[in-house]
Amino acid sequence: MSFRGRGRGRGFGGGYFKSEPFVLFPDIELPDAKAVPDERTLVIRNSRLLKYWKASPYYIEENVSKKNESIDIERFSDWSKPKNTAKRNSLFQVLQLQSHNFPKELIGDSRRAQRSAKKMRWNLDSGMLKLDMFEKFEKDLEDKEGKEKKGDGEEENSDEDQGEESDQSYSDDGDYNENEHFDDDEDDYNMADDHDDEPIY
Amino acid sequence: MATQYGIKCAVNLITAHFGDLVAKVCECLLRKGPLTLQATVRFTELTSSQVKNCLLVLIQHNCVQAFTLEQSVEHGDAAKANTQYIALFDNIIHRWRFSKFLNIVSQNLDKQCVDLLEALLQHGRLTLKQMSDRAKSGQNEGDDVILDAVQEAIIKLLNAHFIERCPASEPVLTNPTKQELAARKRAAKSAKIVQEQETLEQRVVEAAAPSEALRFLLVTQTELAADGGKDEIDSSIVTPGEKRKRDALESETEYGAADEQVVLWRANFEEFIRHLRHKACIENVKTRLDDGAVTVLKAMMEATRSTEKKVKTENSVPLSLSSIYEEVIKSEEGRNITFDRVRASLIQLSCPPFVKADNESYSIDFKKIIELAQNEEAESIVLKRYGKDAYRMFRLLSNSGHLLETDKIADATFVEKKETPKILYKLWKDDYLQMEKLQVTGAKRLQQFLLWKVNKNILREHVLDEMFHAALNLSQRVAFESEQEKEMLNIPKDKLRDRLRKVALLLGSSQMKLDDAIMLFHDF
Repeated sequence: MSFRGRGRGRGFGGGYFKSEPFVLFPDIELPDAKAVPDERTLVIRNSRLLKYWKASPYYIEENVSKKNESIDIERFSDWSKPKNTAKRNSLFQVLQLQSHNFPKELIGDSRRAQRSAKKMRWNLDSGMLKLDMFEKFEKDLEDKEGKEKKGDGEEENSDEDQGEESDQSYSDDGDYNENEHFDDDEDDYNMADDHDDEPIY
Repeated sequence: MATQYGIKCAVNLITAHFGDLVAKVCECLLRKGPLTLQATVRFTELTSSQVKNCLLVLIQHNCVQAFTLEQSVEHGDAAKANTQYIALFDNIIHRWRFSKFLNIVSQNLDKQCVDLLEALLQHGRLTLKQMSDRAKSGQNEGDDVILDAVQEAIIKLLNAHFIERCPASEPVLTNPTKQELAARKRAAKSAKIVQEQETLEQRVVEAAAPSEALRFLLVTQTELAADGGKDEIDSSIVTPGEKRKRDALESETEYGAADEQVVLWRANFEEFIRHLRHKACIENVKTRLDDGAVTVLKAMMEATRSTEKKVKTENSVPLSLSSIYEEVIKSEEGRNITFDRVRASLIQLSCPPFVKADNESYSIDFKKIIELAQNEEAESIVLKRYGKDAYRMFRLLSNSGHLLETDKIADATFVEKKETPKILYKLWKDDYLQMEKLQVTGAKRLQQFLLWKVNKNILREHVLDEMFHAALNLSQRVAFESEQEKEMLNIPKDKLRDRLRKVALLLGSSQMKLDDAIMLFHDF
C-alpha cells in the first residue's frame, strides 16, 4: 500500500537529525569588560541618529492600505472620530526629485512631485522620541555642549501644530463633497469573483 | 569586496535604519550584483512602487548608485540604455561610524558645523535651501542671520573637505574596447606583483564623481552678483596647479544663484576615513616609539594630507627636512623641538621603516604601518584562541613569508615535534595557514613533508569576515537588550534600568572598538 512507502520515507528522514534546544545567546568565555574603553559620546551620538531614522520619512513600513484593512462598513459616527494623522513626514517632502538628482525612471510618476508641496517638519514631534536609556547621558552631553537646545522645546510644539493642520488639508466641506467617494454600483467584496461576461438584467 | 558576514552586517544595519523593505532591496543588490529596476522587482517580489521608494531612499543615503552601461550598436538597432543599480558596500558600513565622523568635526570645528554635518548624515543629502530651512525652524533669529551662519559653516566644512557635492545621478559607463581588454591581459601576465583590477563598483563611483574642481566648490550669491565672480570665487582649492582648472571652471560655471540653491551636498566619507587612518597610524607608532617621533610623524601627515589622492595611499608625498621642521614647530607639542631632534626622530622612524628616506626627502610608508598593525591584530587573535605555542608558530611563518617544513617550525619555536603538526593542522583548518604537501623520493622510500605558510591576502579576508561576524553578533545582542528595556518601561525599576544602561554602553563601546579593527582590515 502507498502509505507504507511514505511512512518509511518519513522515518528515515527523522532518524538522521538530532533536535537540539535552541539557545539565542549561548554561554561563551567573554573578555574582560574593564578592558573596553568607555566611548560614551560615540554611543550617545549613534543612539540619537538611530532614533531619528526610525521616526524619519526614510523608514519605510509595509503600509496596509485602508481599503483592505477595515472590513467594517464605514459608519456616520466614524466621521466625528479623529482621522489617523500621518506621524512621519512624507518621503516626497524631503527628496529633491529632479532629473539631475535621481534616475528618470524613479521619478517618472507625476503624483510624487505634487505631494512635495507640503511643508517639511525638520524637528521630530516630541511624542515620537521614545524614552530611551541614554536620556540621562544625553542630558549630561547637552549640558556640556551648552543650553541652546532647551529653546527648541517650544519650537517643536509649534511645528507639531503646523504639521497637524497641514495633514488635515482635505477640508470637511460637509455634504458637498460626499458624492466624490460614493460607490453605488460597485460592490468591492464581490468584484474579484465576478468573471461572468453575461449581461446584467 | 564584500564577505559573507559583511553582507549580513550591512543588511542588519539597513534594517535597523530604514526598515525591512529597504533592507530587502539592498540585500538583493548586494547578493546579486547590479540589477535593473525590473529585475529587482522580480527578485524581491515587492511591487514596483515599493522598490522605487526603497531605491530612492538608498540613493538619497548614498548606499546605491545608478548607472547606465553603454551598449554597442549592432545591426542598425538603436542603442538601449538600461539603468542599473549597484549597492555601495563601503558606504553602507560607514553608517556605523557616523558618530566618529561627528567627533572629528567637533574636535576640529565649531558646534554649528557639527550640527550641519549631523543634518547631512541624518538626511544623506541636502540642498543649501534645505539646510537653511532646517536651521530656521529651530531658531528665533532673523532669516539673513541664519543664512549667513549656515553658509559660514558650509564653507568651513568645504575647506576641510568634510562635505562635497553629490555625484551624478546616472553616469554612463563605457565598455572597454577589445584592444583595451587585450592590453590589460598582457599587462597582468607580465606583472610580477598581482595588481588589483578596478572593480565595477570602483568604476561606477569614479564615473559618477564630480570633477575635483567642482567637488568642494560653493559659489555664493554675493560673488556671483559682483562681476561674474572671476577672482573671488569662494573655493577651497587655491593651489597654484589648480589655476588652469579654475579658469576652465569659470566657463563651466553658468550657475545662477538659484541653481546653487538646488545643488545637493553630502558628507565626504573619504576625508573622515583618511583622518581615522592617520589617527590609527599614529596610535600604532605611539606603542613603539617615543613622543618626539610621534610628533614628527603627525606633522608630516598634516602637511601632506591635502595631497593624498585616495584613502589607501601607500606613501605620502616626499618632504624635505626643513619643511618637516617648519610643520613640527607649528603644533603645540612640537614647539620646543630642535632641528637636530627632528632629524634624530626621522632616523628612529626609519627602523622599522615607517618613514622612507630618499635624497634628503622623507615620505611616510603608510602601507608598512598598516601591515604591521594588521599582523599584530591577527597574532593577538591566534594567541587568545590557540595559545602561546600556536602564536609563536604563526609569528614565525608570518615574518618569514615563505613555506616552512613542520620539523623546522618545531625547532625554531621550541615545541615538541609530536605536538607541532596538531597545532598547525588546527590553524590550517580554521583558514589561518596554507598547507602544501611535498613528496620526495628518498634513498629507500617515499617521504612526505608538510609545508606551511601564511598567505596575507587570504588571511586578511578571513579575519575581516570573522570580525563582521562578531559585529553582527554584537548588533543582535544590542537589539535584544533594548527590546528587554522596552518591556521594562512599564515597571519602574531604577536598578534594572541602570544595569541595562550600563550593558548598552558596554556593548556600544565594544562595537566602536571592533569597528576600529574592521577599518584596519577593510578601509585603511
